[in-house]
Amino acid sequence: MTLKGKETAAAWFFLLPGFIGFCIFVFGAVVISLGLSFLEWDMLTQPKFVGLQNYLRLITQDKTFHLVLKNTVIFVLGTVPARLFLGLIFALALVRNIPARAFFRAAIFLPVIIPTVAAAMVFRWIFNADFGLLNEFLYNVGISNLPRWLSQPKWALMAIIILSVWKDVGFSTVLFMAGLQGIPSSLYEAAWLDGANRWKSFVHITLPLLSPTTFFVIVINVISSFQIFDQAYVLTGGGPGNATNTIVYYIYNNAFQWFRMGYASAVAWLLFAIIFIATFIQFRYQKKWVYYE
Amino acid sequence: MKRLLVFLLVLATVSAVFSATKIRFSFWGEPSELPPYQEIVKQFQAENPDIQVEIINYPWSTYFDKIQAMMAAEDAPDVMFLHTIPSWATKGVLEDLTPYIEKTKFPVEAYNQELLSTFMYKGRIYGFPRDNDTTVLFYNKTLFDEAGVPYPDYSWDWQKFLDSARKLTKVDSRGRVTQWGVVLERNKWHLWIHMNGGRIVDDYEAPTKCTLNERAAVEAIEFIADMILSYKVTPSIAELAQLGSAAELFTTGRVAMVLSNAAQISSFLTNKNLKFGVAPLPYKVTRTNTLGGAGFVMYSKSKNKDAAWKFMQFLCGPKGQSIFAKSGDAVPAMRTPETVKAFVSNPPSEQERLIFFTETSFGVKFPNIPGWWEIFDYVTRELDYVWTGQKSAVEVLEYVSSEVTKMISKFGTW
Repeated sequence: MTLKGKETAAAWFFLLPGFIGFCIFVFGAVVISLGLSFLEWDMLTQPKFVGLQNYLRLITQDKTFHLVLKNTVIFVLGTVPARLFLGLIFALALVRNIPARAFFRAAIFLPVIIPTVAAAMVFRWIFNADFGLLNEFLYNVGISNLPRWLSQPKWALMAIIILSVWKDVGFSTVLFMAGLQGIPSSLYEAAWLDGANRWKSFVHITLPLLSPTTFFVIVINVISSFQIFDQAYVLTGGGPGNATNTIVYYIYNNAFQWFRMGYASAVAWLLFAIIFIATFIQFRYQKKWVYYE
Repeated sequence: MKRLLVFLLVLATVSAVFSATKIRFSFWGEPSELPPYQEIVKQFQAENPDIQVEIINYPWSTYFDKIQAMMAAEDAPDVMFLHTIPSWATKGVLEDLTPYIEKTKFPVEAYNQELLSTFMYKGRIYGFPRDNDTTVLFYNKTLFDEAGVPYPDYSWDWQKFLDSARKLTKVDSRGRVTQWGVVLERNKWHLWIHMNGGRIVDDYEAPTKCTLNERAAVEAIEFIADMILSYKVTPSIAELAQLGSAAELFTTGRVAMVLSNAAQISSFLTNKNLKFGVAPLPYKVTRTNTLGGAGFVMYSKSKNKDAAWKFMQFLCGPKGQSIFAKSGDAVPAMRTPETVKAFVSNPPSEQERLIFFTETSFGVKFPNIPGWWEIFDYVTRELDYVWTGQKSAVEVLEYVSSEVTKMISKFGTW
């Protein structure tokens, strides 16, 4: 065996454990779930082939699915822009030499590594309508008609959006900080010499050169927001009613509460299609605004 | 020759140990609920050294995924704790126990027959209830004394219940409730409908349509909604999870009354300062209670059915039932002098413990149809819109009734 051949063999050898694991537990499961989505199966009795019926029922009849889809879209529209703008603002502040910079960096990133369940437990108290920290604050600034956060359908989804933004804004911040640090300072110096003020250099240098990062932040946030589950699971249990029920929660309920494996798989594949289309559109239109050096 | 004999003897002893039949026994429950199960297994193994029982315990939240996955792999525990027995029996995963009962003359007649009937499918018995999920009214004597309200008794109708709850509710200067009159659990709405003489479906054995939109049912739901929204004597059901469980609120003295079951008593007892009493449920048109509960079944693909049945005879017989009753957490489903005595000789008092049996006799079964629990979950979820004041009871129940009627025809009959 030549040296190159040996190296290739070694590479395969080292890749093998991960590769096998991926094939069985990820790729295999994905393929099987596609097959399952055409079946009616409760794990106990013989599976029954139903063709496209699961998909048709989801799209045309299932009111709960339409509601969870709407909730999920509202969640995506609520969290992604907030994470984007707040992430950018925090990043702009934290790349500068502000006092106690290390502290603020840690404070903003810390929520990302806190387990969602623990965070949601704390937020359950913060959102408490009578004695929670948030309403106490709102009361003290003079708001008398306080929202009952987790028990009023119109506020419950908002509460989950707030928790999710708080939880994950640190991740966007870190990405933006990396992007900002990659912009050569010589460009700002040149602009300054040409008489550009701070706002002008932000609009004409920072934003265009940051656009690949912005694009990346949007894409991954859209993907992860569509998969919202654990915050709703712990904070509200999908309630009140179905006010905070989401697509992934619906998959979980169908598969592991009602044991409709085929139907749950169909929902999962529809979610995949939605995320795929959303991401595809973003890649199509990135040419118009993303600037690569 | 002698050596050979010794060798054979040793071999026989060793193989006897190894040949002990192993069976697996699964149930859900918190660690605090384990002791009676462990006691039963210990006593059974002492009587039957040739059978080894392996305990498999998962929390409620993951129990059913695990059991169902094991069944799919055809490797489920030999004896299992399950609920909604007919729905499992239709899928062929449960052993028909009727022949075993006849062969071994198992004292099946000692069981509460109404309750046992929820473990039957097409006239065959597939399991035995562990206990009945009887609901009673627990009340905090200290808070009643402070407010000068007489203790609840059989004279309590809805009006007396509501008036007392209002007197027991305390509000601070900002209008926030600091002590609730009563706490209601989210999944107990059916009790109030039955109290008011209402029905969930037209026929509980062979339903054709949902009757939640009829006057009696609507009135009952409006009564609960009024307690939450107008009188504010009970926390919003949707907010209960934030405040802690109903049992937790009662244990810490933040609520004067709770409608709950015997399993909660052990958590009430963790607060040594809590003086609580047991009372019957209030009534309106009639007295009612829950009839139903989980119980034990045998896996149809078990490889050791004889050993499994031997264990079930102990577990579901007078001995096992007495051990469960003695823990005080479970109203025994098998009514013998021993089980009754074991249950009533627990706190708070024998007289109050007997109320559980009286209340059980008012029990009404849930509709006996496939998909019932999915229907129940659906209604429970939709009722949130009433509890939060988003929609009126009439509006929600009209809509829910037509949906449930559709679900009934979709799920079909057994």
